[in-house]
Amino acid sequence: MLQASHLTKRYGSHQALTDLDLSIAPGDVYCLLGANGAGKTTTINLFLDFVEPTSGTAAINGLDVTTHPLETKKYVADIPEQVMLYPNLTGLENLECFNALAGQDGYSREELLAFFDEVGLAREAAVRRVGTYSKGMRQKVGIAIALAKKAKALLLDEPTSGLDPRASNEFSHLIGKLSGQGVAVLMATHDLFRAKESGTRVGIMKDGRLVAEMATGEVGHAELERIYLDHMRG
Amino acid sequence: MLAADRERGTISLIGAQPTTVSSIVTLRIGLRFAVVVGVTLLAALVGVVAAGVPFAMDTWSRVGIWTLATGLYGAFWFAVAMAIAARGASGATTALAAGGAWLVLVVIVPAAVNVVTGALYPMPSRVQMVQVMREASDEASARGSTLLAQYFEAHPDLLPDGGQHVADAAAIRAAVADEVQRLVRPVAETFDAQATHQRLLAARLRFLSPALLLRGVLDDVTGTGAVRYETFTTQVTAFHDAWREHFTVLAVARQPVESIAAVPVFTFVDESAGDVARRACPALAVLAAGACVLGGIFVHSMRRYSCAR
Repeated sequence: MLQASHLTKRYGSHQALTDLDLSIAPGDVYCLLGANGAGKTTTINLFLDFVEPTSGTAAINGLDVTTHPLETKKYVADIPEQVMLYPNLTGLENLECFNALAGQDGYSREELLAFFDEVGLAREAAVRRVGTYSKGMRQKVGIAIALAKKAKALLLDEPTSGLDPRASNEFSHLIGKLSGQGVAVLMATHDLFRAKESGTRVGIMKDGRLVAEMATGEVGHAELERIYLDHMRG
Repeated sequence: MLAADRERGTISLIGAQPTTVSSIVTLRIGLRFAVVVGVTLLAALVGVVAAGVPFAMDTWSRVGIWTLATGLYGAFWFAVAMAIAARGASGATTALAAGGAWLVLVVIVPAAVNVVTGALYPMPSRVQMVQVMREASDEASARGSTLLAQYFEAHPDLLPDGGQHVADAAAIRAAVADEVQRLVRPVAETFDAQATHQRLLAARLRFLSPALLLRGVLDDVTGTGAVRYETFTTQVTAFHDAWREHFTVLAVARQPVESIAAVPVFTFVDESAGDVARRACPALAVLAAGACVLGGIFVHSMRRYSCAR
């Protein structure tokens, strides 16, 4: 579903991403680990066609994102570290708004509220202005937007950063649920524990390169941490 | 709007949707344009109806030109906003740039045009003109009898039977008035010439400011423009000449006014909406071209616009 082939991005003399090869199948939750500036966000920006690759390709559902920018965005949803919505609109109105932009504006009010039920956001909160929401609640609206869009791929950029453990846990469950529905997930994160818990595979990035890749089932928490630190120190 | 979305952080969610950011911005701007221009036009139409303007073809043609000019002027400024927004600067910078553009094009350029036309073609002193008129009047009055004699030399057909003219007060006054008019005319023509030079230069320089272009079109449409005024004063001057000639001849020839119907009557031949439309065309074309160029800049800039975090 998500595929990067020799994907490279250079900003002037700075090499942000070098020769990334990546393939994420439906149902996979691939967690990208790495220090700040390792190239995680650049990878997500390239999949979203927010920046052009210097070389190589990023493809969603078999389509190159640079040559099919609108078509590929039908299949993908993005949840950034801070899901920023229109603060004067309610959660429901924000969902309607982004659904309309995604071309999915045929939902009834009840169907839209059902998406909030699915992500665990109370209906009473859904009709409240987003300006009053916590970060966790906005993340849930982000997931609801992805659900309503029927996205086949989900790009998450440090989504649990700043969430309390309970909200983070709930978020992981939602990701697991989406994975179970066949959604391919690419999540950039610093949270080794969450990567091990939620991911099916992890990749470690350093200085724009993918230096290690493994299935989460093959390593324990401690081992994952040791491998990660070895790469960061080496 | 674009800067607000970037600062609010909603731009990345928008950018992740299967629609171009430029089409969303165009839609938003288009909606605002429709509301602003729609309300303006509605208010104008209400004004036309409330003022009791007759529903003639000419009226509706002028309302049509007014509508087009207002719409294009609005389109120009919305295109300015879009072109600036597409640069991707912060909200404060975008607002400052838009305000700066407005200040330059609506305040500074028109003021500069005013200064330049006045400096290049200064109007002669009014005091000097009044002085010339007084001197001409005094001189002509002193030569009243001589002037009357010269008048009859120039118009021998007006001499009474017997070939001797009578220098009565009315005849002398008519001859004096004729002479004053002759002496003052060069000064008056200097005024007119400078005013025409100013108008022509201002007409050329108006293309530097959309506000001046709109002002010119609206003045023409409503009949308060310089061209119509000049047409009016030309006709008034011609009528004045005809009127003076008519009564001078009667006074000098000591003839009574036998028929009121023979007295010249002023009839203003007004310009048609077609004349106004022809004159408005260059201004409207420049406003439309300006909006198109700025729209092109917007489209070009949006191709490089990044929603990247």
